[in-house]
Amino acid sequence: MSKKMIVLKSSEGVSFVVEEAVARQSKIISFLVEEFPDRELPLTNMTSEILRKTIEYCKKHVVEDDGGGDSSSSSSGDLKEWDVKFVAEIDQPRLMDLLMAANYLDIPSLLDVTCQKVADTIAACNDEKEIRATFNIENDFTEEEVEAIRMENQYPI
Amino acid sequence: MDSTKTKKATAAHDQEQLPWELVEEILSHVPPVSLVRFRTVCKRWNALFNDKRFINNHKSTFRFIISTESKIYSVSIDPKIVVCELALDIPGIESEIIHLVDCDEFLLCCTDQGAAVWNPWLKQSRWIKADASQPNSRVDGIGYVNNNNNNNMRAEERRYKTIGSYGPDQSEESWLEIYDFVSDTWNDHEIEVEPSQGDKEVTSLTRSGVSLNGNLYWVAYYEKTDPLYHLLNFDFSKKKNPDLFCYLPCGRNHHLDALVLRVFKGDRFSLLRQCHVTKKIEIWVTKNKINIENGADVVWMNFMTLPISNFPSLHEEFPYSQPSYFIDDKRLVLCSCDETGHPWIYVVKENKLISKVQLNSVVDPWPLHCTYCPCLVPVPGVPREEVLLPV
Repeated sequence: MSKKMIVLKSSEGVSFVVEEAVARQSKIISFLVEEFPDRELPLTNMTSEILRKTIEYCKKHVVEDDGGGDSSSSSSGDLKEWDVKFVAEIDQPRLMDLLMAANYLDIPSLLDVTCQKVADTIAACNDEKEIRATFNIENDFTEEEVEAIRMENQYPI
Repeated sequence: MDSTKTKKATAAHDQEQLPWELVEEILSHVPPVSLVRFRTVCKRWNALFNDKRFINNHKSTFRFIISTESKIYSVSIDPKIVVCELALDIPGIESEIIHLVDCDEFLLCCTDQGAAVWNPWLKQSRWIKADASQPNSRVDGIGYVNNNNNNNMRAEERRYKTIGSYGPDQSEESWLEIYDFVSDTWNDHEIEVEPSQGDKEVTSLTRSGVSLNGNLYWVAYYEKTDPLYHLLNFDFSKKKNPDLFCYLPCGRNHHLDALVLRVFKGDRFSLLRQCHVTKKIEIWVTKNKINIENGADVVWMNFMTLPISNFPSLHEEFPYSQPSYFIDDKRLVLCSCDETGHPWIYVVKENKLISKVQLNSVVDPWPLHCTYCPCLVPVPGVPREEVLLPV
């Protein structure tokens, strides 16, 4: 049985041939495939590197429709472990790109996994300065305001 | 999907371009205890952490607390009903919780020796010992002094107080006393509760007060058969005998009718009544926000009527307690035990029962339950464990 394949094209013009079932985990691609069958889909805001990563994730998470029933649920623990490893191997800037890609392509589970990884990074920061530096956030508080918030949250009475 | 979300070639600067909706999504995965440490990152983050919508979308949010003899659980409703066991990390609690009260930012877990003021989301608590000098004393609710009739008083400006009552057992005589969080003492000039107003004797239907804008309110009646019950109001700034605030749109037809007052939309009241005989449920809400100075202009309007005769009885005869519920948008979410003592969650929308789910993971029957909307307001007087580094 031959599986239906579709072509996704990255911002550099590199084509990726992917099984339709794999790509359909993206709600956007799922929609586009139905609207424009047999067309290659240009993803102009995704680099080849990020697109490759996204496809790797989707391949792992595709639910095989081979009559195996709930074969995917039996390995959900393994899958979770795989997810953790998958995001652990990606550096911060690429993780952000992947998160944006998950959002753009509307892949809820990938968005969840990448958000959780970034959230863990935030939670592991020692102070607000570290967060500002890591995420390039400008401090718009005066020193007095910071002090006031600190006081309120340490001893609010 | 927003097509303007273009990605820059250099990934290192992308954080700047991260759309705010994604920042919110990421922060909704950060544990609450960490969030509170990072209020000082920037103004936008600080404002977000006070936003109820953000908290309701947070991955670890919940809407009900259930307490059995040995365990405490949180129950989240959206996107699906999930029950999680919470660590019972309340120092000071040595005996069983006999009463669970939702006091806006905090939960009050009452035992026969006192009560814990608890923020379960921040895992912070503070133990309030019952006034040892008074017999049968108990803690009834949390409020604060609101001198300016301010509907939007910031949590950090509030000076929280707890009200307790005591009196000889089985007697209508009782006194109120106030515990101040700052001084950590029960005040000694107690307020005698006059069980009458004019020539009418007043009975309070519920033991614990509902907190709104610092004041506490109780459902009360003169005669059990009164067609209209009323609200008693205690104002922490005036410190006098609880007073008639306003009339309710109904009374109780049957002594087993459920009748539950809650805060609605943060500044109004809602009232749920279920007729014990017909099982019909009616809910009223106040038309306008509550002016704590004046209850005379309170207008009640019908919010929902559920003529469901097969809806189970919400009034639990054993032990005496009432259903918990909250309303958001047009939806009513109820928690109540069935005849065998097992808790259920009912979701009602547009006068129709949409779902009912039994909470199977709560094993012990007849648990206590109450609503609770998580927040990042620290429990007054509890020093933070992680002291922030100086600038």
